[in-house]
Amino acid sequence: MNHTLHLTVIDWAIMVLYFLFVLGIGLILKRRIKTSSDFFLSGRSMPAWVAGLAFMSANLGAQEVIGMGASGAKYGMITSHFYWVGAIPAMVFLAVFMMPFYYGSKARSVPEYLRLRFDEKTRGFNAISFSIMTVISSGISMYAMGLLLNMLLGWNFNVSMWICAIIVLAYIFLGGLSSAIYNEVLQFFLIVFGFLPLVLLGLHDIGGWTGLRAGLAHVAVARGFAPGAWSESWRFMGSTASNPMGVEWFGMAMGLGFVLSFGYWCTDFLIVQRAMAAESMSAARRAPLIAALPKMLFPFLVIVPGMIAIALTQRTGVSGFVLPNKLDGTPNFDLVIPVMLGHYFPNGLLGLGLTALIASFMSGMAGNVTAFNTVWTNDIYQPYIKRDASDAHYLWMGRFATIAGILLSLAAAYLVAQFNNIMDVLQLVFAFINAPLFATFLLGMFWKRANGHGAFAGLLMGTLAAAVHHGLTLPAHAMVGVKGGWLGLVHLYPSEMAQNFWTAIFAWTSCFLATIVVSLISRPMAHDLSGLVYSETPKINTQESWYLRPAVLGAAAILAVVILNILFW
Amino acid sequence: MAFDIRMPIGIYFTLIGGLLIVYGLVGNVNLWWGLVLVVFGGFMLLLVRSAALSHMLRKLIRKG
Repeated sequence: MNHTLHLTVIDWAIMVLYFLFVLGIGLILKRRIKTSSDFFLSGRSMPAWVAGLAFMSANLGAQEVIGMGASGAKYGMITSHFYWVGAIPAMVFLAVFMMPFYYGSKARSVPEYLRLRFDEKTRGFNAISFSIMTVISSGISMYAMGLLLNMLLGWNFNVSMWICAIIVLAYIFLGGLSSAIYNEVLQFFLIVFGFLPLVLLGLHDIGGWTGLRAGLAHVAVARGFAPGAWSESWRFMGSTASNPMGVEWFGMAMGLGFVLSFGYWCTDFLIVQRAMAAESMSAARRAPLIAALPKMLFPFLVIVPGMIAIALTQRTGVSGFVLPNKLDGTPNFDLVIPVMLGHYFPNGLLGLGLTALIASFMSGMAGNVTAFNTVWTNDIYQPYIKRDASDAHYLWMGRFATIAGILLSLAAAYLVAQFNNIMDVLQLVFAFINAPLFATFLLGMFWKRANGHGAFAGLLMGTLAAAVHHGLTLPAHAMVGVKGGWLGLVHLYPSEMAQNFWTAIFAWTSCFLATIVVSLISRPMAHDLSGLVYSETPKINTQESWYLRPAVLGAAAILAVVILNILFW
Repeated sequence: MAFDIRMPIGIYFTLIGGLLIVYGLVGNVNLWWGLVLVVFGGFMLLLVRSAALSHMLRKLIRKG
């Protein structure tokens, strides 16, 4: 079936206007970039609401909009766990407990915090793996965008990828992190206003929430599940066989809700960098909490369209809606959101929806590139290649790293196009490296006895444990290889998701225990840990009103998430 | 004065909202969503204007 969309003058006008505004913001901000701190950290001048929306938007890459829509169709309301369990608690923890150390230590990056708290080898391990990972992640995002625009609009794969890459390069090269952050705020509103009509028109078409639940009940029964399996989030988490995701509640709560989400939201520099650019400690702590509000509502914007799409397929003929298939005949869930745009949006609104889609790709790409140029310059180039250069030299290097980051991302995109399996393996290796990371930070910030040898040994042990667990397990119906089982088969998981969650649990636990053991049998850290460890840092006395304090705002966010979980239980 | 991102956001959404309204009339979701975007864009510009006004007032009071 052909899913090509036809654009008219108004669609092009909306798209071209967006590109012009994005470049214009970069040009306006160029004059403000005078030091390397301006370029890498926005001179720490961002208001809390700007840093907060950028914090949220940097995570709104292709995986978010396209991937969550696909998961909404594939798994239903259970996908909301990626937000209500897998994001909000970690964002609150970052704001209340971790941001004082990141911001207060004056570290310019997350790897630099590791150097201040532990030692050079721990920083080097994190900086190098993070740099390679951001480039690969950006390349995969570029490849997905080129493929999608080629499929939907018939645009040339190379041309669409290069145009978006050059626009992102231009506005970051000109305005550094400030330009990326301000554009992420514009992209945030564009994504909201571009996808909201899709939800409203879809719900209107299917008969509101009641009609959607009825449609999803048919979907669930047709696939051998209980009628509510697609429309409820916790009720069917008792066993792996009773929900479409194939995950039980403990694996979900510990694997996603603790290890993976805290590892991502609390230690991924791409995200944390936005809060570190805030104008004050108070603003830096409020940024993740401001982001938490739209984040908890985003399932209704990106997951519900996928749920509507799968429910609509139950009444083919009336609505004329069909999910596109892959070459092997199975539904291509990744095309759910784009096909829904074509199904509901007339020209005009279609231009807005597609611009929002492109904006989501670009904000993800810009997030990766700004994180890469900062970590490369501050954590690799400065300590290992050219130590005592002038500030102007590091500013120049930041701009050079921006060009290099974009070119390396494009190279990674072409590598994905040629060797899909190589990229699968690389992503798997980085998943092993990332999984234990939060244990290192948790012990580093809250246990003063943790030392550099312990942290480094813990990271290595955690990575090794993740690899061994993956090598000894396999998801059901998967082939031995990149999906697991390459060391032998000890356990079969009902789904790949369950295997991922448990791999993370094993990695985190191994890192946690190894860090404690090695720290206890080696010398304690000799340097001053004030501002780096909870027990050694003076308490922050804020002058804010009680209702603006991070602990109060965080408690309100957690309460709101609990209510959402109960409403969609 | 510091760069205020609400200004370009307000202008962009007012512009594309206007385009959608015109297209909705002569090209009704375009018309209605265009109105929503114009209201949002206008609200953003109003925030900038009130921020600029209060900034100007503060300066005048300080001078006085």
